[in-house]
Amino acid sequence: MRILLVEDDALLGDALEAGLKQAGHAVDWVRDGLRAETALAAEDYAAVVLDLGLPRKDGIEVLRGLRAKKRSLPVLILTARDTVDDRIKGLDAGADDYLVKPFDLGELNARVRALLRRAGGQPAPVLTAAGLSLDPATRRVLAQGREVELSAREFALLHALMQYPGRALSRPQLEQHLYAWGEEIGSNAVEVYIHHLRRKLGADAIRTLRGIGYVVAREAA
Amino acid sequence: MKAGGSLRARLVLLTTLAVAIVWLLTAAFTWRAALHELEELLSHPPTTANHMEEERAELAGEIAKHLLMPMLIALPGLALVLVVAVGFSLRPLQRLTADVGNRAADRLSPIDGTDTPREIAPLIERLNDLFAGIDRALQNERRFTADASHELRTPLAALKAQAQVALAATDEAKRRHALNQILVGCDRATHLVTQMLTLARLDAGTVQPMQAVALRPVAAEVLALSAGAAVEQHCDLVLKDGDAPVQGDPLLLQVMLRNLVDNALRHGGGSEVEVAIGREGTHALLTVSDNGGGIAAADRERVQQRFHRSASADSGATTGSGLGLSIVKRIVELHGGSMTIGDPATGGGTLLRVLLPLVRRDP
Repeated sequence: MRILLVEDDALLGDALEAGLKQAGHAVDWVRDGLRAETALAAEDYAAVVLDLGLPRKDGIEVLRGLRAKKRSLPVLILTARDTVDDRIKGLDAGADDYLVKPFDLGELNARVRALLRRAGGQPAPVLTAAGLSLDPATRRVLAQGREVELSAREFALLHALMQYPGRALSRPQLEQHLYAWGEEIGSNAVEVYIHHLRRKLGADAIRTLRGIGYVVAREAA
Repeated sequence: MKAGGSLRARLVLLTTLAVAIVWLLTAAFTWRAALHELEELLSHPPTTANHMEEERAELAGEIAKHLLMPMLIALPGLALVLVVAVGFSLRPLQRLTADVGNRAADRLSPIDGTDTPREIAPLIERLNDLFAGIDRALQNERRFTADASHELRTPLAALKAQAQVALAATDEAKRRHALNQILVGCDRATHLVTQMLTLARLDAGTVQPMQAVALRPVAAEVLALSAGAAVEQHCDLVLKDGDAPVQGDPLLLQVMLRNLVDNALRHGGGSEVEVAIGREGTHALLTVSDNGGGIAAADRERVQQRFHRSASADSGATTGSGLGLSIVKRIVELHGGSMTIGDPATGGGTLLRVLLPLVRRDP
């Protein structure tokens, strides 16, 4: 999943970028409120991790602007203020969740997973579709009950498709999920990963809709 | 404050009243005794000289006895009345004692001064002034503690997250990077704590006695210490000709200059930082300027606030403590000077002007 990280502190931002990448996300890191707005207008993110005390434009303002545009993507705020008032202010401004600094990286990743799950309309922590199951927390994938080893990119691609089962995602959309800024995107990278996934999961796991994109079938009820 | 009469007047009035009552009682007894003796004397006039002498002694004795007896009885009464009177008069003092005594150490609301005698009113006024001063100091301290705990959370969060990244990293290069970042983070947290303590000490106002200090050697030393950072930022440091002696604390002046030069290097983003020392009227004029991006006029007030962090010129991220200019401002205040942020005459960049009183020359 592609995540926008907005954090002005050099060291914390660096750590969060690395931590979110370790959890398998593509991360774009911006350091002030105005750049965050530019990024949000230009790209399609699965979630935002937003620090509140930002230079140039405050995090709360960025959040209000985002919600004013009726954008519903999940936002987790990071705050150094631990008073109830501050938390209420953040949640009322449109945040979905918050963490008070200093926090545990594992908890941050778990909360991001929970936000992504809810945003995708998937209440269960383990995603299931088309005979596959994918656990974002342990990063394990089972195909027909048998464990499958996937590379980080393959996992991210399958995660994106299983996040919205039954919905086709175009190649550019999948590329957005896979790559952060400045990362080299091969012209047929998505095709290559889809090919690998089909070899490991079975040819029917991911279907191609010509001219539209790729889809993982919803679990048969 | 409404004064409730005078303590002295009340005491004098009550004492006089008590003495007058006892005196009147004594007079009444004496008057009765004298009347009785005189009547007896008139109804049985003395017949002999001997008898006459006897009657005179008896009369004098009776009068003396009636003068003394009520006094002996009334004196303890008088003492009792005085005790009550004095207690009554001093009630405002007791109220004040109770009010001050029952206060918790942090209840610093002013004492109610209505209905207090004229003698205590100034005392209450002074106490209220003192309470207000302590209250201000306490509130400053509370705000500082709250700010400090807030400001320490971000570096702590960074340290924790970096450590967890290092633990989870499978790639050796990424692990080393995270560990190095932890070291950088420790240095930054140390810098933040040092700056906060400096400011806390300055707030407490404990300043060494001022002495004559030549600014140029101080500036030269600070610039020499900043040379390494300047090389890293690809920035030239220039100290222009000129000097001025000021009345000050050399260590604080050094801290002030270091923060100014540090700010110019970190946030200026120019290729040159210039320090100049001169005179303007009765003041020494110290300027630190850079030829970088400058500070927008609208932001000049804000950058002087505590914990306001500006993005660093090279990475756009914030790395400082946000206290540098607050420290400079406080030191300038303690020296009776003033600080302004402006534009350099040569065009772009930031110019910081600090005016400090020159050494007073004794005639």
